[in-house]
Amino acid sequence: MQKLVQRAAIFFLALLCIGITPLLAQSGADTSGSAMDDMAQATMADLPVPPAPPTNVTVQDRSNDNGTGVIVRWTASADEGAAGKVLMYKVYRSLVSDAPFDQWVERGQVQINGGEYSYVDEGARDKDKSDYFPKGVDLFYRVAAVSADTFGLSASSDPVQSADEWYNTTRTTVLVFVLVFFGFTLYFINVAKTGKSLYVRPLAGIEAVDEAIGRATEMGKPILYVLGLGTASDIATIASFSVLGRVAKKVAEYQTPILVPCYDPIVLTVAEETVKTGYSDAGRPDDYKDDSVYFVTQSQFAYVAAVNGTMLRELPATNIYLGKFYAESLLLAETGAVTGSIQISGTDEIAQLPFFVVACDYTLIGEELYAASVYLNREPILMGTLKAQDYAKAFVLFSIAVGLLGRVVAPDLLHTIFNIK
Amino acid sequence: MKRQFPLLLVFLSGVFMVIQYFVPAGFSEKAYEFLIDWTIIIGIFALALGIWSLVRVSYHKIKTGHPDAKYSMVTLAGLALMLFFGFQFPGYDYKEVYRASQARDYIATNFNNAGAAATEKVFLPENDTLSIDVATLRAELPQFADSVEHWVELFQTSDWFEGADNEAEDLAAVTAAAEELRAMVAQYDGVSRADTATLTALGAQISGISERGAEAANRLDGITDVYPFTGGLESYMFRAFFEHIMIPIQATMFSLLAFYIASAAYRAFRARNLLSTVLLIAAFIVMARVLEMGPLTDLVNKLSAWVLLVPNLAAKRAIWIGVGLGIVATSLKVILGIERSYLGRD
Repeated sequence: MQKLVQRAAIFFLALLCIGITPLLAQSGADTSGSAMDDMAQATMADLPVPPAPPTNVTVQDRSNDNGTGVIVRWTASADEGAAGKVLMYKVYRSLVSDAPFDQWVERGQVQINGGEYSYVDEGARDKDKSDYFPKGVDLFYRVAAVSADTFGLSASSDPVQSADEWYNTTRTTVLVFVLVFFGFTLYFINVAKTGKSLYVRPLAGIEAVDEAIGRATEMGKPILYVLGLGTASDIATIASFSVLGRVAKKVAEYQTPILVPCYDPIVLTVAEETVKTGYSDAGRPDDYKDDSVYFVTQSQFAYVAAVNGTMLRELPATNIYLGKFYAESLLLAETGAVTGSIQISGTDEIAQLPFFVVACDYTLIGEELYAASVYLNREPILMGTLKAQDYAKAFVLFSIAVGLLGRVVAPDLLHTIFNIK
Repeated sequence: MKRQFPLLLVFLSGVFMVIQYFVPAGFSEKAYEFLIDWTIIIGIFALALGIWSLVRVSYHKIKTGHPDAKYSMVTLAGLALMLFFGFQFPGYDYKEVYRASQARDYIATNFNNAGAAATEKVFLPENDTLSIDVATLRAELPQFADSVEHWVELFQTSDWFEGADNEAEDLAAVTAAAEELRAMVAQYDGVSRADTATLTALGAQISGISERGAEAANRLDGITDVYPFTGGLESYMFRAFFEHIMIPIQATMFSLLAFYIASAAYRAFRARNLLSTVLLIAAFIVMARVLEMGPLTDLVNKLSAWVLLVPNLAAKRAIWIGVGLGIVATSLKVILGIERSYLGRD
């Protein structure tokens, strides 16, 4: 009986275990599963969902440069239009494609524009600069679509290397024109050397130089020659040196004093040599006075004050302003007009030309300044260059006419040829 | 040879410069920069020649009793005084002076950077979009404050500004601003990114602090009291001569231009012939643009724009093309040695 009770108890317990365990298991699973789901749902709700990353990240070495730029292009994130989820894109660079994210350097940001995206990653050429752009090494790029709280990162691009370019293709038009002009120049120099007469239209301002020097001689007054505020590397100043040489020769012949106040010390040294040469060419090197060419100052308005003072005290018969001029042009020319001098001016600064035209008796406009020395000298070789200039101008006019016609007849053709965007 | 060598040099330099224009590679740029640096070096030496020329001509006028000798005296006196006041005599610790000046600038720069960071990194007003760099700003603010305090400490432990007006007050103001900047970091705690109004207000607060700090730093200008006569560019007399004599005189010369333009305009606009009359009418139209002309305003604006953009621009372009060609022609003449007047005598 006792055994029977024991067996019954064991059987009952066994039944109990068999029955309860699944129940317990089911109950436990239900309890823990529900808690985990709730937690997961809560966490997912808190965690920001990153926007879809940009795709098709392509890279290309920037052309026509010194190896300091790479162009990165990509397709917009699919979430870009989704209620403003994507705020901007960030471009990252690394030397290793599979580097951890914290080793990718942010190179720049691009605001969303709803179109095609590109970013030019560029830096400095020299290694000692902080933003040195690595040249000749593999570079990898990734682009992140950035939302308010997080970002979606693209896959790494293919490697790209930036490299030096040997020829700037965007300057081909300039090269062609330089070669054409060079050809014209050589041709007309040869023509001039054969003795063929080349016509040059008269320049009233230059023809007046002799008259002005003669007037100064008659009056016993000096000639004031102002080279402007340009440096010796300005072409206008170089052209002015040429005229100064011819004027110096004339004044030496007529024994008329000349005053050349200089703004730039290098211009001073060249002007001194030029005037001395003029006196030597006239056969009167001893008449040259050291005080005739002198340095004033490198301060614009102090220079004006000094030159105006000279005008008012010395009352020169002729003032010649040839070179680079800025705001001082009218201050000089008006003072000269007040003192009653004959005034000849010339500059390639378009903004100053109206002032000179108003205040001076003769004005050389733009290119006439460069032609002045040729006109004064009339050497065949120089005449050849002047003629080449005229023909180049005709070439430019012809090009403009062709351009106008092309724009009307076949607009796309010109855009394609000259890569106009 | 004396003449051939410079011509060869000009030819080679000119040809190199032409080729360099078409070669963008780094070595080409470096060579270009190297050559351009030479012009600066030559310019510095030439300046000595210029000063020598000025002294020589002025001295000659004084010596010969020229009627303008008095002007030459003023010129030479001015030159000598500015040289004296600008000179750095041995015995003064000029490094200290420059460090003080540098410290003042650094403090002001730190404040300015903090202000700029607050407006750029917290809030982008142009598109009302929050940037994600608030964390960067929070890290930077203490750095700005640290840097300011470092320089303030240097000020306090040196006698750079001894005797300067309100030195203590300005230093205290600078330090207080730095502390306020540091305290601003805590203000961002608990501010959500969505709270744009608070973030904007905080940005404005940082800008305000930075502005005050920079102003106080810029007032720390006691160097001139330390070095009244000599001390290079920081000398009181040097600066006084320049700021209170040279600059007003230059401004006076420049302002004369207004009167000269009036007299020149009078001559230009006199309707003597047809062309002058056309010029007068065109000038009237362009000038009338800035006037309120009632119902005619729109018409005048359009007419004025047409005058400026059609006939005026066409003429300008014609001159530009001519100038461009002239420049190329003259350059070619110089490179090929056809034009050599600038070389002087043999």
